[in-house]
Amino acid sequence: MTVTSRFRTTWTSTAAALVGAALLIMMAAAPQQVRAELTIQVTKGVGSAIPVAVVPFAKSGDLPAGDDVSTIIRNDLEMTGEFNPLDPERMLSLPSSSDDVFFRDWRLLGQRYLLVGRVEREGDQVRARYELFDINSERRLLGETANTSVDNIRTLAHHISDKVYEALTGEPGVFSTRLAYVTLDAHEGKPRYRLQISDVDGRRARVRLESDEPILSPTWSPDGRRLAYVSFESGKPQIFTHELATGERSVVASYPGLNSAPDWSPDGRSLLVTLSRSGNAEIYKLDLASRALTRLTDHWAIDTEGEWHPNGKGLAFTSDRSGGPQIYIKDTEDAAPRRVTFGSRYNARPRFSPDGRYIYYVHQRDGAFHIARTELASGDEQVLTRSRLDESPSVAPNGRMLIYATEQDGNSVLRVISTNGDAAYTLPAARGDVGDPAWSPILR
Amino acid sequence: MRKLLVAAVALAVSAGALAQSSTPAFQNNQSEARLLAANNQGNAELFFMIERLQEEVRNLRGELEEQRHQLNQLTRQSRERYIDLDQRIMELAERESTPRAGSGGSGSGTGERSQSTGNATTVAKEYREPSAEERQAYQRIQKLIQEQKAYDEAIGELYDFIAEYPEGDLTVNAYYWLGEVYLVKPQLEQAKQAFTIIATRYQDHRKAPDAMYKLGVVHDRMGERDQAQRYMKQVVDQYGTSQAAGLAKKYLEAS
Repeated sequence: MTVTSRFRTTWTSTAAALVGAALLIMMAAAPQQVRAELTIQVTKGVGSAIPVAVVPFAKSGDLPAGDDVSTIIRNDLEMTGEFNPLDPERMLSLPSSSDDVFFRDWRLLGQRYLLVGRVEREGDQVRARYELFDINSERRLLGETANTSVDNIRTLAHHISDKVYEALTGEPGVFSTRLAYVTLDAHEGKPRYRLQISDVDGRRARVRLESDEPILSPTWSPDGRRLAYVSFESGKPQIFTHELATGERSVVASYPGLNSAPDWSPDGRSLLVTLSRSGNAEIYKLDLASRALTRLTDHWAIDTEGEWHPNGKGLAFTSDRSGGPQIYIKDTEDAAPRRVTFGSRYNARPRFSPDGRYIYYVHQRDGAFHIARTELASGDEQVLTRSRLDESPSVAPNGRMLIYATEQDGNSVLRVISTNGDAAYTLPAARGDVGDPAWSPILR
Repeated sequence: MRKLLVAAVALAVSAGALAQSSTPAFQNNQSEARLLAANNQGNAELFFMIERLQEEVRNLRGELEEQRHQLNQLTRQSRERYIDLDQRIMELAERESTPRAGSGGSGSGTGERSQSTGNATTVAKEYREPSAEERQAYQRIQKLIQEQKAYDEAIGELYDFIAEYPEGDLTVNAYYWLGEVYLVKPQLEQAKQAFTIIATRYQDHRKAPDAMYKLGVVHDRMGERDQAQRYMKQVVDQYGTSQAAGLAKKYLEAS
């Protein structure tokens, strides 16, 4: 068995486990000191991006060096691909409040929107005042003040990015959301798996769990306070829930055979899980309070990778009941499954868009694996990625972006694209490989 | 030959004996062992048979699902085609019923007709300069698209605009925006239509290189890479100096 990708989809591991092959994960990286952070590389921009000027914020008081609020906002807006922030060096003036703004300067520079502001230190707090203008109509769109503690400047900046994004697009921003993912590197000659959580720009990563054995398929609870995942730490696959604030963990599924592919229900009360306790991979609903199981699929083919519809009533899953893996949807728990992917012989790992309009999945075509989506109403399929070994799609909670794992220069990396297929940025791990990304819900 | 025949008969007989012995009047150890062996062999055969059947059922199921899907698609397409045809016939009928005097309504109508009947070798086409009113209507639609993002409304307005002000300079722009809006929606088929109109009917218009590039983009989105590449090459060949050609080159290099 050649392992081309170190984080294979649940589909392949399910199939492999069922034919009795051991979960063999190969090692590539030499033992080296691990930096937890991912670094960002914007690889592709769009021509139709909206020009927006984010003026460097005026500063007063003793502020921590390194994290500059307006630079973070500029990077946030740029990585969506929907905005084209103006280079501060080209700015004709650097206003910090509405009194100093001359709109014709910004019109001359071809800008559509303008963000100005100032940051002040007050004791342990940092306060930011900011204003957003429409340059054509010379109207103020936003004017707010936000506070945070000194060590949380990035949180403050992402918060402002969210507000600006929402004011300009009408959709909530996702800059304050988080990513969960698993990194793999060598540690004293042994593989080291680390479940980490970072900001969407890859910064402020923190390791939540480390193990010599594989950690797979993290999924967020709808309130963003807990994760569920598969860990092999006991030598066999078990599903855990993990309270992020306290670090408290509990095993919720440890049945004979497979315990895999958890997906948290929109009401937070249950998980969809794949178990092979009956001798064959089937999807079950696991009630978290009572631990009661309800079997949702019943077929001698492999059924796995269940994902709740955002309405919490139906589900999508992968099944090879028609020969190769294809995606099926049950509109309710009791409904008969209907197949929704027809474009090729291999379609797996379904993920709904937050509005339930699209289903995203891994799609094989001409020997390469891409991320594709199908509009459920029309059945129209669209291939979104060009790279060859794409897997594990996870959709941002506003439906505008999508993260997936792929290969770059022989290493697994995470890549973010806008769901219209335009912009892209890459989040490679500083060392080794990274995979199995899960985009958090919007955190309140 | 005869030997073979004999062997076959002997086999048949012994098989018959085995079948009989499955309901024996009495048993000794030997016959029990034979029975067990026969059962094991039977089980293994059954197991393989079931596996083969399962495999076959899966494949048949796949074919059935795919054919049902194709049937649904065909039904949908033929319904859409019918509606489209019906609309065109209705439009034709309407045009027939309104008297020719209608050409007084827009000055451009006659100009366009004389051009098409004149049928001289077409040198770079002159596009009708838009009127102030036309310009305003166009700007209103642009606002709908870019600021309000009211795409559905904009689509309706664009069609009205094209009907109201045909064959003008801005008409081609309107087709282009129609394509762009459909691309955002995304309704790729419709986007393809709109861009194709420009790329074929208005090849000398300044929007033509962009339209052809976008046609490539549409095909790319549809997963039709070969087609996409063909259009991209065409942009480079036909409009080498345009900005679109630069984008097309980038696409060709990346793919």
